[in-house]
Amino acid sequence: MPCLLSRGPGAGGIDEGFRCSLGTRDNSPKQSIDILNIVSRRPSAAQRPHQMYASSLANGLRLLASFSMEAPAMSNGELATRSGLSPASVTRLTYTLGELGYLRYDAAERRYRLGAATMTVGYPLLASLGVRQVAGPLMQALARKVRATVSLALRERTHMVYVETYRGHDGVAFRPEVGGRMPIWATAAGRAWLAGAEAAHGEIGRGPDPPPACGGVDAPPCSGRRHAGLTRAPAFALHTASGPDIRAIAVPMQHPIAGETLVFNCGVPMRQLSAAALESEVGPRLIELVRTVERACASEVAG
Amino acid sequence: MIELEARHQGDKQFARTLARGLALLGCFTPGEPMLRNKDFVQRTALDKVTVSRLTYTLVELGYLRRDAAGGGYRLGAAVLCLGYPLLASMTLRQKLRPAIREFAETVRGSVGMSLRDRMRMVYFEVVRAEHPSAPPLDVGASFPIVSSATGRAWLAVAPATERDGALNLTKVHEPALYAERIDDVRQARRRFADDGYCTSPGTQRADRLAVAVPMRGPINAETVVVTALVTVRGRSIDTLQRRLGTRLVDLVRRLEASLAAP
Repeated sequence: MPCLLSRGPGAGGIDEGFRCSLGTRDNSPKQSIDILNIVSRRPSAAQRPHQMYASSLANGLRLLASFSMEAPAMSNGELATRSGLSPASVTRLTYTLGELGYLRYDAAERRYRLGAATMTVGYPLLASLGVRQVAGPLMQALARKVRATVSLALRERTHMVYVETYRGHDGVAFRPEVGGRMPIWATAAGRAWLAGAEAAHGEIGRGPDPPPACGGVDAPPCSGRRHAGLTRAPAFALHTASGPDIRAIAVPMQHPIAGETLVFNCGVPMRQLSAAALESEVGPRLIELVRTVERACASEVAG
Repeated sequence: MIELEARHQGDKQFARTLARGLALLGCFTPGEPMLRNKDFVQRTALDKVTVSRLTYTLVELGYLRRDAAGGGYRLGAAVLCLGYPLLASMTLRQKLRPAIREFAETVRGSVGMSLRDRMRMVYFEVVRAEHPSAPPLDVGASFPIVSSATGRAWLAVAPATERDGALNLTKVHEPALYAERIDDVRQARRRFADDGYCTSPGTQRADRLAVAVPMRGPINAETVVVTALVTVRGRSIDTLQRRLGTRLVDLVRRLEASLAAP
């Protein structure tokens, strides 16, 4: 099976030959549609009111999601401007989120910061992914060996979210963290997910259209290439813009875990390794890691 | 859920639907990663219609996802993104990581940094030695304040209002745990004054030892605690505790010094 290579941040779309070569097992049309719908869903649900839709819940979550590295502390006024909600609604929501530990008032700055409940709430998801424990030592060893960052990611609608990450260096560049997100269309992990989800769920045509920011459907396609000695390996995706000056390569797991296709990702500083070296040196190691993890997961289920 | 709403009864500022939606997310545990509508109904005492409306909204937003095979819901990856800015804004982690890693490798254990979430302490940074005996520890994992070394270390230095707040929450939500632990907590505070570290009460796993030291001075307005967790094998726990405690105090003082340096 070929590997998936994409060149440059503008590249979008999956190579035709590559897509045709993927096997279809567990072929469920319903799931295929699901992938297509979820990934390409653009207008936020909040813009499409529905009688079932609990808007105060959605608005509260939207306020939480508007915090970022750049804006880690915000006043009610700033939150109102950012969200477009009325100051009265924002006050009510921040008060409630504060009561529940999702926000906390920083009296010195007179602003809200995220509360620790935002970290606790995701823990059951992390802890239920047994594959993290299985893969941890292998990821750490690989990270050290190739002086890279090795991560495991899960899809969140249009993004891939890190659920585990190991660094083989203590440098400052490219520090993915659990909960960090990267767009599906612009990263190796996202492309590997698309490939893996297709393989697991069946043909989904051309897949969802990439957003215009990624070059649109007319962008140069990824080049599918046959990789000597990797005939049993699924596609891996290589990308040059997974972070500042980072080249990344990613391999999807062959079978979904709890209904999701997980992706292993390895990011290396560009000046440390050429694309060719990443493909020939790191690629096979990452594939081997994923196959080992798959075998361990399978035997755990069987045993 | 009922307690929470009772506390806010007649409080017009309290957004009930938001609280209820977040309560659904809070129903999951590591042992129960998949829940059905009826599980939510049982756990929150909300009616079926309300639960369906909330799960519908949470699925739309990616905080829950349907598990077709299991006929229920799982947490969606969006829940992991909620805490990311908090995690990422704790930039001290990067600066401190090499020293913490060296320490973890030396004691063949795991070292975590945590902060308070209501009546629990939650880890936002974890470094685990590359050694099979280093106990597993995860970012996001949390432990009750009154019954963990980490929580006791936090109680020892937290501002009085926060400390009382955490103890009151425990008293209201976990009355049995509170009653069982409160004397112990007071003793631990006295010992902290002498030792500079806190240890886990003997009720936890006998083969694990946790020692915790609070950092002096808040970070992003939070009181941060550093905890070392090791596996105990055939050695006198008292000696091990003293040795690990002294070393951890030394590490934390060095961490503080490196944060103070430009």
